[in-house]
Amino acid sequence: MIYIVLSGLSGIAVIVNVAVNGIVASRIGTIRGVGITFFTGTIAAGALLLLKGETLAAGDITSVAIRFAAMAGILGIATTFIFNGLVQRIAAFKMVLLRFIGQIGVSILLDYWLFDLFSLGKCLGGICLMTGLMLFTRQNGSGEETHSNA
Amino acid sequence: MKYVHLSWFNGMLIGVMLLLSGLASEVFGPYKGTFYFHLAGFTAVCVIFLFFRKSDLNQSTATVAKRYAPWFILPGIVNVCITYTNSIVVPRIGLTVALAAAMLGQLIMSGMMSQYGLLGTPKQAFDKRRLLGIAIIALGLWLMVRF
Repeated sequence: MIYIVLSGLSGIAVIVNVAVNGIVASRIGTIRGVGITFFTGTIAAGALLLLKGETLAAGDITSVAIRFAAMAGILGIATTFIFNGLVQRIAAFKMVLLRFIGQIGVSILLDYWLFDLFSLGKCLGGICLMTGLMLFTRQNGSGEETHSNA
Repeated sequence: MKYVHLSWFNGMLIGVMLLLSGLASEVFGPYKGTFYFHLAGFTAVCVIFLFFRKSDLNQSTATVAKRYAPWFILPGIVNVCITYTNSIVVPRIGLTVALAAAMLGQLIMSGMMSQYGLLGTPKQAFDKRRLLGIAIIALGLWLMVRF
């Protein structure tokens, strides 16, 4: 249960971050904004490492896991730039809906493929998620689009 | 149409990114995994900056005096918290449940921000339809965890 609550809290933090990043990007440009985010992130994560007494080992460079971390970092940048590029070109509700469909679809597949975590509950839950999301992001009767930062 | 495809593809990339950072943290531990994630991201931005220095993406609109503020460090710190949380959560409850719970959190927060127009978001009432949407998503999350 605690991990589900933590995930929910990280979702809340994502929205705050998207909004603040938007303000930062409008002031100094997207590339500099993302650069500052990842620079301060690296410093903060490094400080955490020091506080916890962990050290970087030379063997980390040759580890397979470093490739996972590097790919994740690069994908983090790529998704941020794609998101920023799409914001002005596609309706917000459509973008949120499609992005979540992609996320949930690939996560169900990866859970099944890598961790053998497939279940009927996950599929039914996924359908509920999409239904709820469609309701949440649906256009108003007046034709005004529902905006969301998710 | 290509933007529609790019939207769901972007979502898929986010799913893969969370999985990879989770796997890296399984080996390195969440602290080191989070550090390497940000270091790789920062290196990638530096490369992009070198290639797209003259691009629109790199143009600032604010005056020099207003350009930088101390609170600009906030997204980086929050990003560390998010990555760290994902690193410890994804290997334990799986990607789907973690993403579903994060989705619920995102929608509740975006709804609240729209309700009060926080951080420059357009104001929009948190009506019954949105509340019903969140209730259905919560039901979906429960189904995922329970069965």
